[in-house]
Amino acid sequence: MSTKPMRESGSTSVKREEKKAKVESSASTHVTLRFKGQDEEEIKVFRMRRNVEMRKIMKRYNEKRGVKWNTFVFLLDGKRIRESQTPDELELMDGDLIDAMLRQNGGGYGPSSITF
Amino acid sequence: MSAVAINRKRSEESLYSNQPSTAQFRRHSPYFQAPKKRRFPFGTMSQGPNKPSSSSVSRISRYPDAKAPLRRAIHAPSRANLIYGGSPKAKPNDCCEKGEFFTREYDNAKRTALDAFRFLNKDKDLIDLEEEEEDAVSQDSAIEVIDCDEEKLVKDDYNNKKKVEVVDCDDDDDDEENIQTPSDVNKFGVGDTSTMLDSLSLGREETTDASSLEAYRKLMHSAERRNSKLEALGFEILFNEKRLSQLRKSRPKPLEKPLKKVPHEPFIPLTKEEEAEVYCAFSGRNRRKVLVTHESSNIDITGEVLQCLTPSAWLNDEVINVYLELLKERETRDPKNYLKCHFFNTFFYKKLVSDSGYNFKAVRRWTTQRKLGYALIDCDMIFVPIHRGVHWTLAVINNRDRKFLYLDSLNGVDSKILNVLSKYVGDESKEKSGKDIDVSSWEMEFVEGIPQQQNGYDCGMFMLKYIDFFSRGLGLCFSQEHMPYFRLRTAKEILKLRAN
Repeated sequence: MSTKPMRESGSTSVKREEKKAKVESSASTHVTLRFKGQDEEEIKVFRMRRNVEMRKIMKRYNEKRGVKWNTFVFLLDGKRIRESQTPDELELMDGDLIDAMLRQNGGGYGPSSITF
Repeated sequence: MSAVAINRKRSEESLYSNQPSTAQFRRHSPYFQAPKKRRFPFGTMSQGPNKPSSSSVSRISRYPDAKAPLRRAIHAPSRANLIYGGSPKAKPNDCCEKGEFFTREYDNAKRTALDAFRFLNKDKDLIDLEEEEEDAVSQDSAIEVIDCDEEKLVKDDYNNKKKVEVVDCDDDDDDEENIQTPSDVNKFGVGDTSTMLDSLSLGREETTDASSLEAYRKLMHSAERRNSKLEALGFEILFNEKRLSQLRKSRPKPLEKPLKKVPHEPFIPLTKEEEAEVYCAFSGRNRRKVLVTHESSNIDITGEVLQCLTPSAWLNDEVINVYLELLKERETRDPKNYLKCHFFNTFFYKKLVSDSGYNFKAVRRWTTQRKLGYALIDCDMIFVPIHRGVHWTLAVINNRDRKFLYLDSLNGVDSKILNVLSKYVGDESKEKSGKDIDVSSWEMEFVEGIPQQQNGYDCGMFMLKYIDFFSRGLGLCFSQEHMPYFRLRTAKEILKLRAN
């Protein structure tokens, strides 16, 4: 299980003091989210600012998985997460698990049209 | 006969061309050639006068009446010969020598052939008249001995010759009918035609008006005899038909689900404006544009996404999930007309079986009271769309009837799914409501006789319609042919964000 805190946009230069300060107040400004991919045991942990749009973290996750944007649908407790939403809006708490699901297509039989 | 033999070749040809039907056929067929081969069975004709047999009689009787022969076959169609069957008769003078000769010969042959028969029979008659008292029984083994002398004659004829003579005692024939051997069938047929021939043959001086009248009367009688039997049969047919219809009416109608009255609402056609709106939404320029957004589920429907509802396109999760949301909203609006349902989204089952095959924890937060506003266990029906790679199927937790259903528009089965769901129901009710439901007593059914898809792309639509109709409390009274309409209708409902 890789635990690699990611810094989101807004914090370009990192200084130890700043980092410490951030860590201390991370409870209010940042949130640690866990991403679980479909058919994947591993959980990726991300940390982000609360008031930043989810779009970035979703993009990041896709990159991490090595897929193109829009491959995954992100769910929080079964409900879709919009890219424009922020953790605050979603009332995300530390350690919340977000499901990354593959898009679904179906017709019956014939050549599959899963984009990947 | 020698004359016939000498002129055999010529008369063959003219005979060949004399057959108007075959000649015309050959003339008009693309592969017509001048008649080189003579396939006409001429052999029997020459034998006619000497050896009368029943086969040649029947064959002769089947010949069409002699007509003035056509000229010898020519390579180009001439007007005279193109008219079907008409001209030869109309122009009796228009024959060549050979033709006339042949006609004469034909008549002769026929005459002699038929005469031979009569001659033979007359002999037999004479013999019988004299000998009948002696050999009464031996000659008519199959038939009762009846007093009338003339009847005996007739019987002999039947047995030996299968030919009917002009006989006077017609009435008694009726009695004999039942006793006759199976020559009955031929009896009238062949005999009648010979008598008919006699009466109709050309240039026959012997036929008098009296005998032709007799023949006609005989025919009439034989036809009338059959009339009564035909009537009886006709009556029987009518009677049986009436019986059948009576039985059908009285048969208890098989118990059916309310499929008799086809519900109106699910099939209401789109108005022209609605259709136009849908087609506009399908168009290419709207591909990237967000057409509608379903707020509560955070689903954006772009043109591209909606295009999955165009014919032969596979349905995707956005469209399905938004439609399920709309169904829920419909029920909330109008709870009286719909069952209490819960519609899981397409990802639910996937999550439930993630990791180890059964993962209740992964979904336990999906159905909190706070989220749903109701308890899952209180619902009549819980719909679980199943995505299987390239195929959509449906599982239903029928809380009301305590059973699990699996519906597949390709008629597949999968017991694993229902097992998983039964476990889920147990866990869910225990956790959320503290109730312990004994799901082992619940029935598991792979529903048969449901509408099936006839192609490789409509399964998503079928699944949605299974859900739609069930949530209305209706039977699945639709079929593949409704799918194009349903696609349009679903697109319309999504654009309006309102399911009806």
